[in-house]
Amino acid sequence: MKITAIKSYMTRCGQRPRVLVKVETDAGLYGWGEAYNHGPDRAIPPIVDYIFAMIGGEDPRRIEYIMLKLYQQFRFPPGALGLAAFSAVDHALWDISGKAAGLPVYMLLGGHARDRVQVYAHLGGKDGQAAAEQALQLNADWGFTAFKTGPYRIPPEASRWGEVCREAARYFEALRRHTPAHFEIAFDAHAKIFEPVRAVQLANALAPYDPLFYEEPLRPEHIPAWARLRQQLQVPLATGESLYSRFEFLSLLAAQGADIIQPDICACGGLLEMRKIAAIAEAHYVTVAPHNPMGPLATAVNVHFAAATPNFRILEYLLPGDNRWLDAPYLPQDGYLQLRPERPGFGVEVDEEHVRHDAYLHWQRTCPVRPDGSTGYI
Amino acid sequence: MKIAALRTYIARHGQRCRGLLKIETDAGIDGWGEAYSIGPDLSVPPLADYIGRMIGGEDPRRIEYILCKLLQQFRFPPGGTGLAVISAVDQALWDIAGKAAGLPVYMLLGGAARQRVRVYHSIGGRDAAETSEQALRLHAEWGFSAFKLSPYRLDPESARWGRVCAAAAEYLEQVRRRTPAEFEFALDAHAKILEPVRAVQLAAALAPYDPLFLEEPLRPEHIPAWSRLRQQMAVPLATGESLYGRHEFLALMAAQAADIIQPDVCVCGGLLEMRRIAASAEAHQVTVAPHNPMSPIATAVNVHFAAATPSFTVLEYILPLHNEWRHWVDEPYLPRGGYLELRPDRPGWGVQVDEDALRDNEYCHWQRTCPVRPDGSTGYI
Repeated sequence: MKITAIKSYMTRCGQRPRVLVKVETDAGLYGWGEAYNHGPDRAIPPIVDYIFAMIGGEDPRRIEYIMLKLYQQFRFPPGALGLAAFSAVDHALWDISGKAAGLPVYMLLGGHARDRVQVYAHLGGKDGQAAAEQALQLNADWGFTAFKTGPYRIPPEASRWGEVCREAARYFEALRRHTPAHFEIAFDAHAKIFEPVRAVQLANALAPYDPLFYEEPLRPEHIPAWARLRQQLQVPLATGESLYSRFEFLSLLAAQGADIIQPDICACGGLLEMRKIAAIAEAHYVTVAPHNPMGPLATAVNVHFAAATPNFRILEYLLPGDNRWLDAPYLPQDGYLQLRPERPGFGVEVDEEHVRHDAYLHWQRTCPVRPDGSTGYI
Repeated sequence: MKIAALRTYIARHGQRCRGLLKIETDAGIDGWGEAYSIGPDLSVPPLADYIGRMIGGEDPRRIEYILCKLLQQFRFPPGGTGLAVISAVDQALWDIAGKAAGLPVYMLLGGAARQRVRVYHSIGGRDAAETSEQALRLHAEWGFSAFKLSPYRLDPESARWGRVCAAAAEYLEQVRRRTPAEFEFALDAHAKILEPVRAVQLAAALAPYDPLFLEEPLRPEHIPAWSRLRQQMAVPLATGESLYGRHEFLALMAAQAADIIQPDVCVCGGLLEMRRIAASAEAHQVTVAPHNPMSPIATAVNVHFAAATPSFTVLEYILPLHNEWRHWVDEPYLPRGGYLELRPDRPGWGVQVDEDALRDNEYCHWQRTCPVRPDGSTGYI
C-alpha cells in the first residue's frame, strides 16, 4: 500500500477555522486527521503539501518510520504549526492502518485498557449558581459529572490579587453548594499568572472546595517555576496544552512539575507522540487528561488514545453542536463515550463533500489591556 | 507613525527560497526582515498576513509592545515556522525605527561595543588539501582567518565510530599542517549523533588540533545530555541554531550545557529576542556566535547585533556573490581583513533592498534528504 495524495480541507468548528487532512492510498483506503487551530491556519495547507512531497509513495502503515523521517527532514523542531500538520497526518495514518486491518485503532495499540472514556464539559455562567444550573443540565442531558470552569470572576488584570482569589473561592463555594457532592470540578487559570506566588495564592483559595485539578496557572516555558509551584500546592497541578513532544513533557515530568499532564493530540505531534508522552508520564506516576477543545474528529482520535492508555484520566469534551461534517460523532452516555469495536479506524466518517467548500474565517485571540496600557496573556 | 502594510516575497536563490518581509508605514518609511527557511516556506505569506491583521495601525517603533502582544496573542509557543515570521517582523520594525531616527540600528541598542565584526566561512573539499586551498584562497581574497568544517570524512551512518573519529582527527591535523597557525577551525557535527558518548569520543579525537568549537553534536531537545557532554569535553561546545526563545536558551545555560551559543536572528524570535538571549548568556559567562547561513539581509541584521553586544565573538557568513543574493541588496556587507565594517552613516540596517529583484520570483521546492542506514532506517541529516 502506498500514499498517493494528501489533501487539506479548510472547514470550521463554530466560529473558528479548522484544517482537516485526508491521506489517500493506491488501495482505495484513506484516513482523516484534524490539525490544531492556532490562529494562522492558512499556513497549515502549505506545510501539509510540503509533507506530502517527503512521504508520497511510502506505506502509510509504517507510522513510526514516516513520523521519524518527517522530524529528521525538518531538522528544526517544527513547533506549533509544523506539529499541527504532523499531528493531522499522523491521525490519518492510524486511521488507514486500522481500516486496513479491519480493526479499531485502539486494537493496534495493545487493545482497550478500559471499556468507556470519561469526559468533562465546560461551564460558563455569571456566578456560581448559574454555573451550577449549567452543570445540572449537562448532567441531566448527557450524564456529565465532571466539569471545568474559570477562576476569574473579576478582571485579574485590574483587581487586587487577594480580591481575585476571594471571588474565585466564593464562586466555587456557591457552585459546590448548588451541585451534588460527587461532581468533579476543575479550574483553568489559562497561563495568565506572571508571578508564580500568585498561583499559589489562587490555588489555596480554591483548595477547600476540592478542585479536580488546577490547570496551567503559569506560562509553560520556564519549567523550574513549575517544579517549585507543585511543591507548594495542596491541589493537583495540571498542564500541557502548550507543550510539544516527548522532550518538553520529559523536562516537566523530570522536574516533578505536574500531577496531571494535558497534551493535545492535534498539537503535540499526533497519536504516536502522545503515546510516547503517556509512557513517560506513567513511569513518573502522572496521569494524562488530554486537552481537547477541538472538533469531533479529534475527539474520535482521543477516544482511541484513552481506550488504550492505562494512565489516561479524563478527556476534555465539547458537544459537537451543529457540526455536519462527521457522520456519527462520539456522544456521551452517562458522562462516558462508548468504544465502537465494530468500526475500523477511528470509527467515524468525514463527509468530504461537506468540507470541500473553503469555510475559512479569521479568528484571533484578543489580549486583555492593563490599566497602564500594556497587554497581558489571554 | 503607523504600520500600513506587510508584504512578503518568496525569494529564490539557487535551489532554495527565503521568505522576505517588508513592512510599510504611513510615513513612507519601510523596513525589511528575513524569515528562516525551515523548509515549508509557502507557510510564510499566510502567517505574515495573519500577523499583519494583528499589528496593522500600531506604531512600528513600539517593538517591545508589538512583539510581546504577538506572543501573547499566539498564546501557544509559535515554534519554528511561527517564530521565523515573527523574527522577520521584528527585523523590519528595527529597520524602520533606525530609519525614523536617522541612525544605524546599533545606535538604538546602546551604541557600538566594537568597530568591526569578525566573520567565519564554511568550507568543504574532498580532502584536507582541497579544504586548505579553499581556506587559503578565502584568506587571500577577503582576509578570512576563521572557518567551519564538517568532521565527517567517513559515512557516520555506516562506518565504525572509532574510524569516523580517527578520520576526523587526521583530516584536521592535515588541514592544520597546510594552513597558518593563527587560523581558527570550528567543526559542525550537525546534530547527527544519537548516543552522547560518541560525541565525547569525537571531541577527544579533535581536541589535539585545537578546534575553535565543536558545534551541535547532539539533537537539541534533551538538555541534560548536553550538560553531561560539556562536563566531559576538553573543547568548547557550541549550540543553539535549533533552539528558540529566551527560555530554551536559559534552560541550556542554567544547566551549564554550552560554552558558546549560536542563536539565529531569523528563527529565535528576532533581534529583540536575541538581545535578551545574549544578556542571559553574558550573565552565564557564555559567548554568542550567531548561526547565519542566511542572505545579505540577515547578515546586515547580525552586524548590528554583533556591533552592540559585548558577548558576541564571531559571525557565520556566506559570501553573497554566487547566486541571486547579489541582487537582493544594493551593497551587501563584504569582509575586509576577515571583518565586516560598520556603516555609521547609513540608517536602519544600512542596506537597501531591491524590491524589483524579488518580484516574479518562482518558488522552488527544497527539502533535506535523510541518510539511510544499512538496515533501511533513516538518520538525521
